[in-house]
Amino acid sequence: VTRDKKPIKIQSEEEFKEIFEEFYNPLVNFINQYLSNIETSKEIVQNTFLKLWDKRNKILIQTSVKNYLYRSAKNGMIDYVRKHQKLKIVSDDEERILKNLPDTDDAYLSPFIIRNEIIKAMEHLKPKNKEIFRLSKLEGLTYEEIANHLKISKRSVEDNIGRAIVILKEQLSKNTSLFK
Amino acid sequence: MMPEGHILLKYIDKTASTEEVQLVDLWLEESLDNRKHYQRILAVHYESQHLKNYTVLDVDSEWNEFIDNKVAFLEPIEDSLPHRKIFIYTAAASILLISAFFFLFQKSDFVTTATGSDPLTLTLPDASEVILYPNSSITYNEDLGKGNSRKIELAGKASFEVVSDKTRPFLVESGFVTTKVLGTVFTVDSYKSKEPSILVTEGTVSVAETKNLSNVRILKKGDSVVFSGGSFKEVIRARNQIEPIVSSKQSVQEEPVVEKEKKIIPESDKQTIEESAANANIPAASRPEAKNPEKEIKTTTKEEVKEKAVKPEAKLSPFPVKKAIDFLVDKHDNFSKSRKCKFA
Repeated sequence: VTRDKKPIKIQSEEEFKEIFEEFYNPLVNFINQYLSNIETSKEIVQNTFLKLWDKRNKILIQTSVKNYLYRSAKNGMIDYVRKHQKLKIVSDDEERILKNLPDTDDAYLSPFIIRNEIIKAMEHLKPKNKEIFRLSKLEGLTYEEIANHLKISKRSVEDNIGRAIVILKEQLSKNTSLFK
Repeated sequence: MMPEGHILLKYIDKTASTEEVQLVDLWLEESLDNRKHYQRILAVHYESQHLKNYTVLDVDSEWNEFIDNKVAFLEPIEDSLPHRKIFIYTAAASILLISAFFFLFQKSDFVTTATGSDPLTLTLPDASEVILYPNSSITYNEDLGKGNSRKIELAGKASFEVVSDKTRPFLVESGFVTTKVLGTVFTVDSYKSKEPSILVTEGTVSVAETKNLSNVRILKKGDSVVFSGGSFKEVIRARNQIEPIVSSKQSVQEEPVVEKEKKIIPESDKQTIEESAANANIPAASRPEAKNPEKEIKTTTKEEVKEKAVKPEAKLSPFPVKKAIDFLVDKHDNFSKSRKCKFA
């Protein structure tokens, strides 16, 4: 389902669930980037979706679901920070930084969507390819460390990573809204 | 012909040999499609460098939590019926009441269980379990396992382990306080009838003042709420933050924080789409961290939870200003670069 076309009206719970599955993890990671608290980030995003659910029959999203969710989650985070400002958890300056996040540019969410799609697309890699990619990107091992660990040459690791990146790119290209 | 993946990566990382650079440059100059292809490789390569810090949550379990939250927070404790249906329901209710009137003369619908000096464990008709503390009593309809909702009246103190049923909320009415759950473990202590308290051991509970069911507080695992004089007194969060219940009159007198807040347009109002007024039922964003679920409600007391609340184990992390600035500047620059084709 294309989520970048406009406008959109959410017709059913199934459609709502699709949106949830597509954007939940990117939104949590987007919020967590600032709050460094995964439980709070989850809660803010849960609230974001609760608000959307509550209004699903009443609204026609004029921009895009991505833009709507980005703005709603960002505002939820700002409301949270403002609420806790009284408890001296954050300062005025810190709140200002968040408030300066743009309303109309959802590009701040895009990297997290791409990361989420990369992880999903990893399922399309061959087992060895996937393992080498995982060790490199998710575990943070160097090419030399992977080569030693798997008893293969460094060149073979480079080949595998290069091949994985191209396959992942092909998978991500199937989502037309991902790369504008 | 497209260069091999590892050559493209070396080109991106600027570790390619002169020959490899020439090969890639020639390929890029060939067509716009090649440049788009390169641009996407660049984006995937760049973003994959950040996967180490990307948290992958199980979306299925998060969706289930969302469904639980949806039922608990968006459906009010009191039954709300569409106006156009009220007449039909009223007529149906009248018939039922008349039938019930005759039925009541034949048989009592309600079951009351009371304890003396010893506690009692009992299983309700819906298979939920109750530990009834000494000198307490509960009353419920004997059809508790069949109706549209499951309502219990409590005097004294009891712990409930409620069988999950998303279609039939479990309501515990205890004087000033009404508690609504879908399936969870919690304790209601109304020994002091004017100062009842609720402690949630597992799951999510919404608590309302019986006299004003729209005044709701949402409690999660480890949270507790204390009443005083029939109204909320304080909510003790498992995160160790005590939220005093401030009346609207009090908050108007608060200076200067409230004054400052008045000037700030709520961010939610900035949505281009009109927000409904349902936000009152949306839970606050300060919730406990739910790890290590424990079901040992029999030994957990309100005092123990308060003791736990003093420990700073779940303190909110300080807000990372520098990280945020670095992220905004670095991310915006780099990602913008990665999205622009330098040959376009």
